[in-house]
Amino acid sequence: MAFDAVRGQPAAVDVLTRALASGRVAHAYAFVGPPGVGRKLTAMAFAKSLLCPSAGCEQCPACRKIEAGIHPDFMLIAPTFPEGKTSGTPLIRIEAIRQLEQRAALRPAESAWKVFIVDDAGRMTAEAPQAFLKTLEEPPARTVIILILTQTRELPATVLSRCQVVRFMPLHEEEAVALLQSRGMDEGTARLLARASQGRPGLALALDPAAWLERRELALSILAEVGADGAAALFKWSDTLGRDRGQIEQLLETWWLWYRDLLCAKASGDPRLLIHGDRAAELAQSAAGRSWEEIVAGLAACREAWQALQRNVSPRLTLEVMLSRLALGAA
Amino acid sequence: MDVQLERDAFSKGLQMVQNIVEPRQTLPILANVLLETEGDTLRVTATDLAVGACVSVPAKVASAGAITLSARKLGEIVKELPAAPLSLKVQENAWVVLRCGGVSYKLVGLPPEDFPAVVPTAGPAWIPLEGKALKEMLTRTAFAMSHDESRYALNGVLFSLQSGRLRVVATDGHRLALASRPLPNGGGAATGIVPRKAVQEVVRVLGVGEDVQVALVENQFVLRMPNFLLVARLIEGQFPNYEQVVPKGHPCRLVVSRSALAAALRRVSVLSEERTKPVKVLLSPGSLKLTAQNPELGEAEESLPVDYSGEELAIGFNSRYVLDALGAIEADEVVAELKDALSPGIIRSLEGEEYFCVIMPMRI
Repeated sequence: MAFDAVRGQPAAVDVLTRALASGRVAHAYAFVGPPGVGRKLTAMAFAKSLLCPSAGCEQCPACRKIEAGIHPDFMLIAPTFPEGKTSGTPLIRIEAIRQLEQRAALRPAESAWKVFIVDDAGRMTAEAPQAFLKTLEEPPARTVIILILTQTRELPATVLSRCQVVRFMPLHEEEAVALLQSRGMDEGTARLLARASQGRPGLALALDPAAWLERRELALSILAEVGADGAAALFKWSDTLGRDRGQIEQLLETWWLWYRDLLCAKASGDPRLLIHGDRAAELAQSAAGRSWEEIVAGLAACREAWQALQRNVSPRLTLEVMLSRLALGAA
Repeated sequence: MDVQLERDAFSKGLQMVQNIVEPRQTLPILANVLLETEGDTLRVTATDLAVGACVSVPAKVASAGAITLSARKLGEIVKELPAAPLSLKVQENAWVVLRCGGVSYKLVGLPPEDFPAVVPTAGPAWIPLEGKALKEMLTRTAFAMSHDESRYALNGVLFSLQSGRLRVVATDGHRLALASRPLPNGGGAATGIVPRKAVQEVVRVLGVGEDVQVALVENQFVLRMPNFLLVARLIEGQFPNYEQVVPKGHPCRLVVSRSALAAALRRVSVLSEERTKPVKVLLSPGSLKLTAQNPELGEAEESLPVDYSGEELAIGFNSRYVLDALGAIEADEVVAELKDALSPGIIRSLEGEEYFCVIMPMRI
């Protein structure tokens, strides 16, 4: 079956297989959940189930053509750079939506259905959802449109109200570990990455374990250095890192997870709850030396810094404020 | 693959299909044309997954095979080549060596396996037609196709096969053009909406003399000529019931010179508002008066003699629509049929019912 490759999403798979079995397939779905948990994989599997003559065998020419993106009754739209450029903000542009609409208006070429997947549908330009509304509400016959989203609020309610929402959850640790092991990882690495990615194996597969550990060392050493040397070290690091938004986001996530572990360590000390299980002793010691308020304030600092980055605050400023709150105890 | 071709034949073949390739492509293979040997020919195929076409070019085949190459670059290269025998040889890793006279190119190809097939889904019932007649029917109706993407069923022309006639109909909701002709050997009943791009391609490849065969299969429109095949996906959805729209028995019938009416419309509409180009038509026995006015520019008026003996009538039209309809008729005299200021008007050629255009009036 096509859905065999989808792990740890029983609710979503159940909704879709029942729709297939009863023949009551909705004209538009919104697959909502965090990245890396199998939303696109499920969408592709659903497309294969609809377009493949033997319901998603993964072997036949139809399935191969879907995978290669050249099936005439299938279209995958993803955010692209501005026209004619190789950099810039990738967005789903109105031209892509128009192409989708043109293809949807045609009769199916080889199958009984036409399937359109819009990946990262939250990254639409402002006018794209408007252009999409009429097609979403009443698509041409035999058309299924799947929007892949992280959160429902990424799109206007007018768009979402025309879709059947299917929720995707982060995987349980054991499922994520098993999946990563089936991709050839040893158990230790699989467990570390499953925890580091918080149940999002798609992200775990993209992580390099060595780089992840290295980043953790860097993050902790920055924290320690700023704690010891004060403002001088803080400005040294913000000079070094200040321009690199991507790296600051990653460091921020590392600190955030570290503080989460501190909270767990202080609350129970159960190493199974820790993401950084290999550093349990250090966490326990560090947690014992901090008050509850301090740890919670640290978590708040991380969250606020994350929100600031999402809202386009300068990465350097964000880093300075966050480090001074985490390491220097500034309010 | 190793073949020898004549440059002119290859260039002509490429030109017949390469327009189908969309300039902006997300899938690299769709920017390419498929070249494959078939007997003593090289078959060139292009597709955008909605419309596909292939053309066979005579070739000396030294070894059979297939490859895909960038449609645009191949077209540019072949256009500039000297008129000499041309050879194409596929090497390892999909490299292609093209030689012609003293020129040689080494081109990066893509393997042919992933190229989408262009084939009719079923053995269709072919309808033989004169190429010239089909081209004429399409050009006389295609202008009325809608450009409104949300009304997708109108973004093409309807082919309707019924009781021994082929009808080609296009409408955008404001006007409707219909061309029809009897079929030599009756034939069954079938309908399908052929999308704009396919219509444009068919008109482009149809020359003057050759006979063609067309077919409507379940989801496809297929056109076949010697050495050429075009397959287009039909548009989903229901074409409006056009027979209901065509008014019957209008009392006011006038005959007017086509060129004189067109020239007068062009002159008067200079002062019409730019978006809808309205022109008011005042009809009285023996004369037709056209007026246009624009509060910022002024007024225009022209009278021309017509063959009309009915009651007086005033009606407004979008002059562009009338000019389009007049442009689609070849005869010197046209017939216009009207009823009142709010009923659609009909323009047709004086002889026969093979072609007419229905135009909705405007309130002016």
